[in-house]
Amino acid sequence: MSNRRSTTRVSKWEVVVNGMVVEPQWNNPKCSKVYDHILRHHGPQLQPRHFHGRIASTNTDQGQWLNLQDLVKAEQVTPKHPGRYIIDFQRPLGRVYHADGSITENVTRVNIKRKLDGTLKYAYPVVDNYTFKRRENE
Amino acid sequence: MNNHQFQIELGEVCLENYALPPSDTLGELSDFELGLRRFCYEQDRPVAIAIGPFTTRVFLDPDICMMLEDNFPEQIALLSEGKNMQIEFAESCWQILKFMPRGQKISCQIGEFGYSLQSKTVELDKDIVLGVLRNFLNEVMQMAVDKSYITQSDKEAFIRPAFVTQQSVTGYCICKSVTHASRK
Repeated sequence: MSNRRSTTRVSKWEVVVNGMVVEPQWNNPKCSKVYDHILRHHGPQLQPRHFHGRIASTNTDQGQWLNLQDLVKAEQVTPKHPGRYIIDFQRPLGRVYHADGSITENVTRVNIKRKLDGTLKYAYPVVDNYTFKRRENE
Repeated sequence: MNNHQFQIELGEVCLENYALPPSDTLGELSDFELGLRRFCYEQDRPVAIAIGPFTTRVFLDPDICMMLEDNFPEQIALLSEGKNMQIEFAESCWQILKFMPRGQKISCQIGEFGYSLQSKTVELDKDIVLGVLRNFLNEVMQMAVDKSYITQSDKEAFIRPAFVTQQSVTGYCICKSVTHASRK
């Protein structure tokens, strides 16, 4: 194993490092506790080939953030109560790679889930017709 | 095709990765947490979950990794106690698998979200579901141990809640009450 610091978990996402309880750095997009999965799969540094590769094996649309700070803002405006949310920023914050090969630029909405421990399970841009709920006319 | 089957199958390791490797520049993760993420990324492979006539296809990274981090062993324990269990996949597919115990059966609802809100329900055998979930948990975590991403002791501690059955808890209570009775 590596020579990393040993940590003792006191609650789900609080850890004791060198005797101190450490909270996740919510405002830092490099915070692995909160943002790692999101940045690795939907971050602005990913190349189109990453999304095309994932779509080829999953046939599922993939959203990409344009700016790291928007991810932090999304965390800040998401309700603290655990659950799934779609938040409309009403300004462009990402793009969506579609399974049919097309790309929707300048999407304004985000699909985001806050877990019981307060951290984010996922957060990625989605197009306008992405939904959790059945529309009234359906 | 068996309309009541429940199986989880691990595929062959993927030759190419379509995500960035896990990182922990702030040093926040324990060896176990980072090791599990590295395992799922570097040993990424497809996972097929067959529920009745339907198959949900996901990957170790990020779907199963996120599922494991979302208290998967504790969720299995709750299911064994007769409580509902929910697994949400929001990356490789957009589905929620809801397991609802009904006596010795489990009603499994496969709900879609995103562009489709279709829902399908399959009736499964409770003992088979619990067995398959526990075996899968053990298999994946043991693979991470065998490939030196996590330690055996960390693996045992992580999966333990999934293997604490109501029967063993009841057994403990019986032993306690017998001890009390013998003291009188």
